Amino acid sequence: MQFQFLSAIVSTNNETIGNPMSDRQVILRTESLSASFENKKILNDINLEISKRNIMAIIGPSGCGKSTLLRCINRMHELIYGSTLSGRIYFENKNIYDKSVDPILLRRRIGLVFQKPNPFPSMSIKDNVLSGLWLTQKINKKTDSDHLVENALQQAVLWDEVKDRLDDSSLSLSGGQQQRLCIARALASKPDVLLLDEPCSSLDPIATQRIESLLLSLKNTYTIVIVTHNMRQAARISNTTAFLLSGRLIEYGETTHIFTSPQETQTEDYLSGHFD
Amino acid sequence: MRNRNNKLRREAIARKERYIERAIFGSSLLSILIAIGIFVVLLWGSLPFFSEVSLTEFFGGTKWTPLFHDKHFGIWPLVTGTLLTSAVAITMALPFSLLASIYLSELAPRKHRQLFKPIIEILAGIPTIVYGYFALLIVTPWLQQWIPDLAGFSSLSAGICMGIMIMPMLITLSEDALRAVPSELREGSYALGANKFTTVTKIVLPSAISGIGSAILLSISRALGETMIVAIAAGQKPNLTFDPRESVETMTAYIVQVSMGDTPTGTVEYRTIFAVGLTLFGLTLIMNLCSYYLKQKFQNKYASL
Ligand SMILES: Nc1ncnc2c1ncn2[C@@H]1O[C@H](COP(=O)(O)OP(=O)(O)O)[C@@H](O)[C@H]1O
Ligand SMILES: [Mg+2]
Repeated sequence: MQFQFLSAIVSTNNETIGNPMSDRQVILRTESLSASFENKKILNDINLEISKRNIMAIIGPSGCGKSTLLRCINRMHELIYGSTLSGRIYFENKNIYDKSVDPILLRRRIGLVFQKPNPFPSMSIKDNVLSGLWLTQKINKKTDSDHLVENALQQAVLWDEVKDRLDDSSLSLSGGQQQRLCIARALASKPDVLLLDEPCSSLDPIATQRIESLLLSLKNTYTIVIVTHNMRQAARISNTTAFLLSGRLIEYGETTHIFTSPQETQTEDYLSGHFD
Repeated sequence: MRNRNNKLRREAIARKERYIERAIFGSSLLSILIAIGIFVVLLWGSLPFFSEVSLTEFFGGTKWTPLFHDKHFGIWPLVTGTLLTSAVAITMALPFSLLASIYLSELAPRKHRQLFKPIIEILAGIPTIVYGYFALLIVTPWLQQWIPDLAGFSSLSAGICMGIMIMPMLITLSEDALRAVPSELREGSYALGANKFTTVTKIVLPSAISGIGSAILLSISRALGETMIVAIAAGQKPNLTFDPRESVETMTAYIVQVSMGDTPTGTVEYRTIFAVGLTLFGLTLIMNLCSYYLKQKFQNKYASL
């Protein structure tokens, strides 16, 4: 019954998607990726392909390593004390863990939005939007950047709510607004890939809906990888879905297939247990 | 039966908890009462003084000579002496402490931190009289090689040593302020492609600024009240000057001078120490209140994160 409900969402979504996955260009590919903290293995031999201009949803129970996977993709994992990593991740056919790759430059191309909104409290709303450009010396305080600010805030569907108080502290915003500000901040840096870690987990349904429509509207310009706890959300917005369980990639493929006819029983069990 | 035993036991525990709560409340009340008591004693002692010396003379005069035949009671030379030594101390301590706290909080590998923290704590345990003699016997002669007209007692020499003395406190408090910046902000900065230097200077430091401000004010307050170093090395000459090479007298040093000297109690010169003490009390109280205000502001900022 609920399965059918979900299939319905998936199929309507799929009509708008058009291209089947096989036509798509792979932008990110992990190869035997394993990651651990201290000696605890968190990710185990992950082989995953992510296509360009596409929304991939990563689903799986809490603690299965979804956030860790995202953090490996933009080399944030290595910032944590005691973390180790093996394997390769190819971004546009170059291994990002190659010695020659500067993680700082890589992160400018692969943005990450965290689960908990983390706007910079020392900056105004406007400065938060520009923070990525400012922190990477792409602009300075004197640059005329009003259009950049408006653009990013429009994209993040936040413009109308904050256009009259751009100089207010970012902490004057509600949680949902803060999260959209963080998305605007990531977008203003014009990355190629946008990683989002449960961006809606602390938001109300209206803010969630806004962010979903935002992501759908960004799909044609960015490659988006979104971790989500919400199966309906995954079904509503993603073209492809990857299912992780205890640090292993159980399966991934077109969202329609994963949700209606999963190949693995573990996927099926998980999905049927999570249609609530 | 069993139920009743349980009930009794629970009641006994509840009673015990009430006693503990009361004891804690009592001791915090005691510390507040002591602070109020000190204030009242100072005020009480100052009242007879202010019946003889007008407030305008005390706060408006620029000459401080209560122990001389020609008495003047203008507090300003003591105030500038106190502020000058403290200013030298904080100027001396701030750059080093800030860099050290950034190093300890943001850059140091764990091993280095484990090495440096105890050393800093040892520095904090050195009696201030040691710093005083260090200033007088080592720092002053050394400085005199470079600054020929440096007096034998000077606010520069005393201030430098006082700076070393407050460094552990300033480092520790600033490090706490930096560590209190949520790691989510650092991660947010790195995720935007910022490097470590930018993250520290543009995100972490500005986010910790009110906490660091609070640390600075507390350290200044500590320097204002410091007695031994200035009594030994800054001199005992009330001197309305902003030249750190000259000899000055701080409020604390003056109080020491009078209470250890042969000034008869009950005289107006003896009562000056209450008025001076009260002024010092007011000055440090203002510092502490500002520090508290900044700290509250700092904590409120991150309450939502
Ligand atoms: N900083 C860390 N240090 C040690 N273990 C961690 C750290 N962060 C996450 N973990 C562990 O890694 C595992 C996977 O975490 P995470 O990737 O956050 O899972 P998910 O996002 O799927 O809930 C969990 O068991 C968690 O306890
Ligand atoms: Mg997570």
